[in-house]
Amino acid sequence: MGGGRFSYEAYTRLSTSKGYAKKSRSEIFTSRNIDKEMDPSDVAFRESRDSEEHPESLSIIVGLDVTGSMGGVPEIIVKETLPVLIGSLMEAGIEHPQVLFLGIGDFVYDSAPLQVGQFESSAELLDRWLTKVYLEGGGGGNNQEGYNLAHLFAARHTAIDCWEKRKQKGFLFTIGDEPVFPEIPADIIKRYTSEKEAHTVTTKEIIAEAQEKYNVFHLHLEHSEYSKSDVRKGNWKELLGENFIELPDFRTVAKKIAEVVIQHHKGSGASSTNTNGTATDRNLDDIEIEDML
Amino acid sequence: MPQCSIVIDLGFGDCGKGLTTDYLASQNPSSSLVIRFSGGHQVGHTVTTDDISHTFSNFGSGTFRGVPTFYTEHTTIFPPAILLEGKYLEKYQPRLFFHPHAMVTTAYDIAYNRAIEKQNQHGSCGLGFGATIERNREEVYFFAQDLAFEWVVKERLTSIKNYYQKLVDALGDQVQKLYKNELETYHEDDYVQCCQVIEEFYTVKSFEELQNSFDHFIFEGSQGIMLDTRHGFHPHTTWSNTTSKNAIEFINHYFGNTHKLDLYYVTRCYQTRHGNGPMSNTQEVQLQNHEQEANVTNEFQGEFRTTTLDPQLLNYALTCDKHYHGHLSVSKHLMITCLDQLPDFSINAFLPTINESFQSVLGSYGPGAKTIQVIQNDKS
Repeated sequence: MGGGRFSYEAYTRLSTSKGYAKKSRSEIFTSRNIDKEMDPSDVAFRESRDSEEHPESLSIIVGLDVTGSMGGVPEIIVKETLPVLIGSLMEAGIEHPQVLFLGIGDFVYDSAPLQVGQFESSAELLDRWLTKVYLEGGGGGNNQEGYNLAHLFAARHTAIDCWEKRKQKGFLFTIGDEPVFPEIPADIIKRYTSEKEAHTVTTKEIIAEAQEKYNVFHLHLEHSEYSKSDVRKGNWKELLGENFIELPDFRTVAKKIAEVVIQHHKGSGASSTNTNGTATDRNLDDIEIEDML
Repeated sequence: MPQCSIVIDLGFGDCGKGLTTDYLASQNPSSSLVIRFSGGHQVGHTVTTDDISHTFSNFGSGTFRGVPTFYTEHTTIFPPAILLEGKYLEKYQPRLFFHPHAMVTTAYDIAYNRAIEKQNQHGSCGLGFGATIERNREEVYFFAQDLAFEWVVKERLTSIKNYYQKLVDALGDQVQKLYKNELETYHEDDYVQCCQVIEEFYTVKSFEELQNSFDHFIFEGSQGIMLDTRHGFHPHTTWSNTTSKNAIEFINHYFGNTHKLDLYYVTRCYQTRHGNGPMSNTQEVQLQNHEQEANVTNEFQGEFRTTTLDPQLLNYALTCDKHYHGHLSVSKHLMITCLDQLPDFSINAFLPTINESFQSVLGSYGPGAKTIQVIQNDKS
């Protein structure tokens, strides 16, 4: 009994509310569509650039698991938590955050395992992507999700000034409650990115690739008894070490992201050659981060 | 003369019925029909090709070869899952034929199954298969032929809902609460809609209408003989005949004596058990190349365990099955799977411990049908 995965998933869909915005549940059943603007298959690069208004941009990618195992959690995160993320980051002292939102699914079972927004500098603009994301509510009974598609996209399909101009790494957060697939098969890379030729890549390799220009983290949400079990945490610890973070209260996701960014950003800012007194090396030692979020 | 091949798992399931069915379907796909004659939408049969690895639940394991699947009246179907899996497999143009009396599973069957299973832990998949069979025995029916009639579907759902409400009411607070929780946010409209939308994937047909269009009938078994409703070990059994019983009856009924019959018994080269319940006391095994295991520990079935094969248990399974076809002329074959995972396994040492002579012994050395090799072939 390997276990009737599609039957599990179908039952989960019938019995949990995944509808978001104006999509009714029946629409989710009949039209499993990704918004064209979020389709990664013809995106060469998402760019995070400095501008007059934002002279020292800091690129932050947030990839959220939007599959069925997460129950109603993605909806709450997308509706209530992430919209305040940019505000939280700015309050914490990151003056020019640019946030790219990704919706992550299961590339074995879902029709839209990767959905990509654009790097945005304001809460209003970010919200556009948060409301567009298609909450597939899918995933399979395979106890794994395609978080590595976020690493892939970050590594190969983003161009970020903070790294290219200032050697300041961006931040990549994946958020979910399952282990990650051990690899990304070549045909999945070809199907869901703009790459025409591809080789299968292991998760370890693609994380290393992403780490060339991003600090890579995974937030594991302990939103249910099952999600607290070791089998649901898989080998994240092995892959990311201290950057694997268990989060008991998923409502604190934005706060946690801001906290992590400010801690690591300050560190690397201080060690960089950039000493012209902007946000990157402002002394925040004495500020209680909790109070600012 | 039509050829009938029956694929039977000798163990507790998970042995490689998907692989074996795909292999048989590959031999002459255009004239083959896969027949599901036991189990239902709860199965998980994994087939791996160069393009894709997929665990089938609602479509037969010949689907990647373009082979359609017939579901007999002994099986269950779950419309929302057909829609999901069918859409996922769309580019392979999956096709289903339903016996008019194939049994339809509802969310109420699943909710009841889960409420009970959460109390008992019998190793059920939590997908309402047993509940559906039990309900049909109580003569509360919902058949494949009803699906196309929306009003009928709604009435069936009302009857089934009332049927379970009575059962649950008699079982005390705990079950009542669990059952209610399962259905708290269930939307019946979605279910009804699914019953209509899946029309693109299935046709209701009697077997007589189909049998002359095909030459090779591949009977894809479910679970394993050690989980059989009669020969498994209560209470860790499934609600269906997982031996060749249903298939043999079917063949006798539709083909009489004019057919060629082959039986493919499938076992991994080690013993597996997914879910609770006994397995014989042999040593644990160390496996290699095992990363693609389709079975994972889950909330309902529990742990996936592996130990060395127990010849005594295999002989027992073969004996159980023999009684259903002993009177017929049958060619028997043995398929030993996952040989790449256990290099210590010796086929030559193993075969003499089995009290059965096989016309051929086959082995698989990887996930796909391509890796299947003929190990022994006795033409006499």
